[in-house]
Amino acid sequence: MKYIFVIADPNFKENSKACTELVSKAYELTNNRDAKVVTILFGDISEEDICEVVKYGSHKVIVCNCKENGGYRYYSNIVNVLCSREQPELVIFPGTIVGKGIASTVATKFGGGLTAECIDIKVDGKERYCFSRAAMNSSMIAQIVCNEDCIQMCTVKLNVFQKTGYQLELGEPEIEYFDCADISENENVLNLIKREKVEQKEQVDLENKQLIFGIGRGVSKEDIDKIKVISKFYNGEYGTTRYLVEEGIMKKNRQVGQSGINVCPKLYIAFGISGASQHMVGLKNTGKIVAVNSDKNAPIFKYADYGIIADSHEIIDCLYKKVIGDII
Amino acid sequence: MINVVVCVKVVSANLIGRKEKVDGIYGLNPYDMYALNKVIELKKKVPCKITCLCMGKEDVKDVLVHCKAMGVDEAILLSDRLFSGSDTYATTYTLALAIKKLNYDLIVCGCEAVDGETGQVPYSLAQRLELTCIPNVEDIDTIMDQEIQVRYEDGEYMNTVAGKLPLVIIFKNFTTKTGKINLLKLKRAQSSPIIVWSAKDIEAEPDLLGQVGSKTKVCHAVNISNKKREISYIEGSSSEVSNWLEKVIQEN
Repeated sequence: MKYIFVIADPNFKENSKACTELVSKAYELTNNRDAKVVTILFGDISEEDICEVVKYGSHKVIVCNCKENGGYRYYSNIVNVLCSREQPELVIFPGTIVGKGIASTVATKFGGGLTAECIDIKVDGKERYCFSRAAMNSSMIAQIVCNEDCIQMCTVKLNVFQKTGYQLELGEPEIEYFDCADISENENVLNLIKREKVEQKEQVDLENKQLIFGIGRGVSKEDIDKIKVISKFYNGEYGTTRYLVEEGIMKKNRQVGQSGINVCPKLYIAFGISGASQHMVGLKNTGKIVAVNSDKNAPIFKYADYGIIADSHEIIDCLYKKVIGDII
Repeated sequence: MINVVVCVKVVSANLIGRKEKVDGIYGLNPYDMYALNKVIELKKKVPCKITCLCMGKEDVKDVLVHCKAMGVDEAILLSDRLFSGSDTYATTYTLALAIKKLNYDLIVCGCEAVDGETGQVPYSLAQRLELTCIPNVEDIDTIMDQEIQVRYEDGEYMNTVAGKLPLVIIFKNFTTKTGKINLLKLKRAQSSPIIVWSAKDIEAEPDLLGQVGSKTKVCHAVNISNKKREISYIEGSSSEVSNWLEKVIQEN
């Protein structure tokens, strides 16, 4: 029997959607194979939470009775023990900050192969897992395999996989309560001196918007202001690429893509975006993509459903005038 | 004296968003630039020795010279053909061996590199050195008697923690600004050599380095879209096209 581990973020309450997405994918990977999904949850977990992860495809749930706010090294120690015990062939971690810390620590400890922020996992003909992620600095997707002798691991962000909502016939799921009393806490623990609520930043809900305007390098500052008006008028949002964030023109919480947010709108309208894979992976579950770019060779036209080869400025201006006309 | 090791990566200049003109084909990863600036600021308040550690080809030396002109005391380039093709695992094996040869109290990293965008190296490095890593650091408040106090962002909260050195910290931000560089300092930096260490110098096992020592490998690259999207081009004047766009938005 082979095992696929799905590790939940220790803050399950705020990350339950990500967890069930990972469980759905893990379950899909067990199709026609002698493999089981084992989901590992930490801390104060309700029966409803357990039902939730079972519903999406966990054959077994391990609830770790551990202390709260243990720090990523503490959770890594727990995962280490469980990995040593069960020898899973694949471990899927959430792409949260703590998730990344645990993944990297466990992978280093076990000499495991780790693919960060992967966007797909498949089993190939040789029973190997094949992980996809945006390739460095190109418009391609790299497919990554691990050495045969090691545990295979990956981190996955929110909104990469879809919850499939299986009403599964898994039989009675197995639930284990794992006692963490013997788990060592590392020395050199940090002493919390102060914890202050940060002033609320502008709340941007890109993850759940149905209409998103993408703003790329080819859009001027004036036109960005116009897109803000347009997107507000249509009850949409606007997102951007890494480049504009690093230029200081846009805030990080609007960055779509590998090191930003994954979005899944019904419609994404990209203005002046060239289409580097690191941006495009964030659009994997987007309904329709409309690309406006003056460069007919821009890679984004390979991914778009509709292409408009034109100066973004002209189109934005026209749309803006319509919107303003409607407002007045 | 606090010994600070800053791990930096040199990336292709065209990946760095910069308002000013890019000089040269390489630049410092903007996340590492931010971390480096913070450490140089710290040095003004607390006596520090800053060592920059970088893996890369010999031709990235200019960027390290620049780091020295900014205020880095020593720059070490880990350069060897055996290092090429390293994934996170092989990278941190290499970096950890080099760090073990140095005196270190504080290891500072940027949160990711703009080319790889994995952000896994600091944690893996911390594990190899058996240290704790603090991510998302906003600022270093104080550092004295082998204890550091930092502020880091934790969701909606800003936490202030004290920790015993040595530790690894990850700054969360980035910048593309290098700040002003004194010409005299640049001249001085240019005349002092960048230390280059090979695999032999760090006493590395060749089997654990580079592609050979990596746990993952890229088997091939494919086109991004898994749905075979058929593109239709919308043609016409700007107003025709925007009429069409308006319709699509409204139907949606």
